[in-house]
Formats: sequence, structure tokens, C-alpha cells
Amino acid sequence: MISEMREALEALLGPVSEPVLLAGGASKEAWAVDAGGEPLLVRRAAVGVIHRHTLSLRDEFAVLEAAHEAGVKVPRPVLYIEDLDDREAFVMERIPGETIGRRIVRMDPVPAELPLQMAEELAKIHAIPAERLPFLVEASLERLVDELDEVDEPHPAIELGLWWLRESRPEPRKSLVVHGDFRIGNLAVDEQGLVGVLDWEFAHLDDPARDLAFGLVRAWRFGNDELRLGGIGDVEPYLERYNELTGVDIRPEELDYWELAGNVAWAIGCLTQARRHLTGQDRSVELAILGRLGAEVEYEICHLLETLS
Amino acid sequence: MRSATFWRHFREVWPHEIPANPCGVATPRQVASPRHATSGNETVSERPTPEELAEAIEEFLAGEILPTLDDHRLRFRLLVALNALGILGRELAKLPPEDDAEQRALAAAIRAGTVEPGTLARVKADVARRLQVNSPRYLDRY
Repeated sequence: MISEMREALEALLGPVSEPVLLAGGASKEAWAVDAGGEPLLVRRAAVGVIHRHTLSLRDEFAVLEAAHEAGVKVPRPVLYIEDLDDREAFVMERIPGETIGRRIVRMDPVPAELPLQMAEELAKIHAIPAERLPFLVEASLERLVDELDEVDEPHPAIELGLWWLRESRPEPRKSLVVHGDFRIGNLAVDEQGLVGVLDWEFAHLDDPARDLAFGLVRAWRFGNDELRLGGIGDVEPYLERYNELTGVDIRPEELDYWELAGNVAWAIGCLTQARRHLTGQDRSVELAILGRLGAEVEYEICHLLETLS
Repeated sequence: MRSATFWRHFREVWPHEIPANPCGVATPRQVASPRHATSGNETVSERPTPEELAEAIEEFLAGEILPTLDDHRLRFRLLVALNALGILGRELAKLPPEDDAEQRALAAAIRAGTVEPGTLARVKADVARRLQVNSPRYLDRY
């Protein structure tokens, strides 16, 4: 398989080094390969992937291209390949920097500029014209409810979260292109700060406050709970910088709302990830245990509801 | 569902009875009726069930760790541990299924918009009881 893949890549890119598998998985593989001295990353589909609520690799590549054109710090998109040894794939620059969230929050020191840089990248992402990406769909609370119903397990804490989200929805803002999974674990960071925004498969159209608040979810603070912005900083300067750059005026209460929404989404995400194991789609002890660890997120939902009511 | 690789390794090294249906064919696992973790007085339905967790660990150890072990003593000890885990899993499978009707009724009421005073406190206490089992140290973070 590796030699077929290398051959196919060489036909498109010229001589390349032997591909090294960095991460496997049921949905996507990541391969490191060097072409003409340039470090590249190949994202390739796994067998039998059903794209539900995530972008296909073709669409993800198109989003990456649009983000790159808009000046967002992203790995340079190189090439989409419809058939790379029988599967869909794309090639992008392999950028340096730390990408493991738990290590980023423990950097000593965490780059002081990082919170403001995150705000700057979000401002650029939200300026990508939606017409440029006609396949992106609008998110909705109903889709989350559908996912929860498919799990068919009673979770009153999640229901309470959904109930509050329905009752307390702020005046909706114009839907914009959002990253959809903008949190510390999806950034590449070095000593100077943000190097690149990664993992665009959840891009969609939504309230921009949703993107700003997703990184506040406690699970993504990796134990640094007191720093609400992803375990690396305070929210206020980050929100202020975003508002200053975009000319909108997103209020702190909107972030509270969308932080709860992010927790509800991740609590349901834990249950659906565990289903990948339980149904045999992707047997893995890490996915299995998420079905139990979702209780942590449910506790946070209750905690947030106490502070909000 | 166990992979063909799993059963290949398993047959090579397993000194005891081969468990039922080691066909090596990937068939979707039947969704079992949920078994419920009981903690305190509350019945909480959760998956993976205890035996599903034991099975996930068994697959990981037998499918991914065992093939990497060259040390005979370690291989032997891992096989013994797998045997013990099998016992645990079968013991857990004998537990009678419990009824999660109350949690279902509560979830359905909230979905319908009926949130009685005190609901949040009750739900939070239920989640805390689940965490005592699932992730006890997490509660220290609040």
C-alpha cells in the first residue's frame, strides 16, 4: 500500500520520500511525506467513511484554499487527489509547531500573543465570503437533538442544556463562514504563538459568536480551568480584539450562551463517538470510554446553568 | 465486532477454549439492551455497560498489546490477565438489567418543556453520582 501510494504521489508531485503514517483512524489517515525538500502532509480517507455532519475531503480542501486566500494562517493547500491508491485525499504543507492541546497549555511560557492571535484568525475566517463555499450548510439546534435521539439514552442534563438554549437564544446574528471546531487542540503553536489553524472538517455557516466561544468549553482547557480561553488566557482581551477587528459588538452574554451550546454539542459528541465503538464502526477503547466521560461535560452543563439562572 | 487480526493473534496464543463465534468476519455487533450502573439509590443507564468496557479492554490488550510482546513471561502474564478479564466480563453479563424508566421520563418531560422547580439540582446530583463511578477526581475541579 505504501509503495502504491508513493508511486501515485510521485506521478503528481515528482520524487517524494517514503510516506510515514502519523495517525490512523476510522475516518482519516495522516501521512508525512517530503517532496523536493518540502515537508508535506497527506490527509487520506479511510475505508467506508460516511460523511455525516463533516465535510468530505474535497470540500475540506476547498475551505482550506479559501482560508489560505483570505490570509488565514493555515498550512498551504497543495493538491486535491480524487483517487490516491483507491481513496480520496489532499496534500498540504506540513507546518511546524505543537498541536497537542495538553502540551500547548503547559508551554512555559504560553506565548503572550496567542489569545489576540486567535481573535485575529477568527476575524479573517469570518470574513471569507460564503458564496465562495456554496456547499457549507447552516447549523441548527435541531441537528444536535437528532444526534441525541439517535443515541437513544436518557440524559436529563443534556436535555436541560437544550431547553435553556431554546428558551434563551440571543438575537441571531448573520450566519458567516465558521471554522466549527476552533479550540486550542486544533491549532499549531510555537514560541512566537499561533502558526496555523488546522482541522477544517466541521466548517459550516453559523453565528460567529459560536466560533468565538467554542474554545472556552472547559474540556478544552486541559486542566487549566481558571483560564477560560482554552486554558491559555482570559476572554476579555480576546473578545475585545475580535470586536475591534470586525467592527461587530459581540457581548460577553453571547459568549456565555455559546459556551453552553459548545458543552451541549460536546456532551452529545461523546455519546456519538462511543457509538462508533459500540456499533463496530471503529472499535477502540478510547472511543468506548468517551461514553462514560461525557458525564464530566454534563456536570459542566449543570454548573453553567446554575451560574446563568 | 472483533477484527480478523484479533482472532488470528488470539488463536495463536490462547491456550484455553476459543470463545463463541470466532469467525473472524467483521459483523456489526448487536446492540445489547442497556445495562445500568446503579449508584446510590438512582438507576442510571449508561453505555458502554460494564461488560462492554471489559470487552473493549480485552480487545485492546489481545489485539494491540499482545502482538507486540516478545518477552515470554510478559506474554504469559498478559494471557492470564485476559483470562481474568474474561471472567470479569462474564460475571458482569450475568447482572440483571435494570430499569431506566425514571431517567427516561425525566428526560422526556424536560424535552416537552416541563421543568419543575428543583430539576436542575436533582439532575446535577444524578450526574455527580455517575461521576463517582466514571471519573471521581473530576469533581475536585469544582
